Amino acid sequence: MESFNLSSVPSLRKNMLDLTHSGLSNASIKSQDCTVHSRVGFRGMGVENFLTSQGLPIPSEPNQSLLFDESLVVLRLSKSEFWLVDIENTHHELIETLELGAKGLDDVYRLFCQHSHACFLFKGEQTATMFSKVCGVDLRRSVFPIGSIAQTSVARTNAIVTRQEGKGKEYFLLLSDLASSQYLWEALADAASEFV
Amino acid sequence: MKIMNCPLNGPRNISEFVYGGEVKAMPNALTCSDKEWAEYVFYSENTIRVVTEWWFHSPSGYWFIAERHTASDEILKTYDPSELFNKRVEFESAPESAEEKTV
Repeated sequence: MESFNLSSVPSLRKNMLDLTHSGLSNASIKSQDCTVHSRVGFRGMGVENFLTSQGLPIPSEPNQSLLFDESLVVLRLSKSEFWLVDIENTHHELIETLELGAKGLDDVYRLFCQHSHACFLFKGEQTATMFSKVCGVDLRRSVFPIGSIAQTSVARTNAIVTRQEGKGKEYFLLLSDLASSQYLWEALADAASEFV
Repeated sequence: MKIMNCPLNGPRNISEFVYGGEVKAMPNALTCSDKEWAEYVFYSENTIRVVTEWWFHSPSGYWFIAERHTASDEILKTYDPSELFNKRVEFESAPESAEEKTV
């Protein structure tokens, strides 16, 4: 069976998230929904060599992330699992090339994070304090510096959280199950609403 | 809240983990008796001791092994499964029986 290319027709991607119900409009914490932006994930013992051969930098340790070309976040979730998340929707061609290039390679398996996960971005001085209301892992800068990843529970939903810095601004990137995204968006909007 | 130390992610709330059964040596499915296979799949020894168990960290999709005392419920040690399993387990398919071939 011919496999479906997950990177195809990005313009037709739709997000069912209703962003209007949000307490974030007055909050000092700014949030952004990046769910329809392109991303791709790979797992397997051959992925490290594959990404390096494509000219991409990769974090040396599991649970670390780095920023490539200003807006592509490369996450290393374990020894052999990598996700690439395009936060400004400017790297679609690269992601599509990677997805097609990985076909048929030994020990490189594509993951389905494009359609399984929602992707939110949070900016603002108080973001770590806001996360402390809904997440058991300490995300303060002193213990969770730029490039750290926490795979944990946020507002009782499984999530991947990483801290990154681009264009002089720090932000948190959150990836979580797509089916729970409306709940999580509203839960985080509610948590952020007190930080005016 | 109980805390468990995930070998990949560090200390996390126990609610993030899912139990995956005891680590046992798998008998050869082609040669073992039904009783041996049933014991492997269904039964476990319910005594006070330190057990070696599979555990799953749900947010990261990561399986690992923990050693736990069944009376105190204390988790003594957690580690990556590569310490016990260093090669892929292959399953040979059972040869077709003569009866099936004639159908």
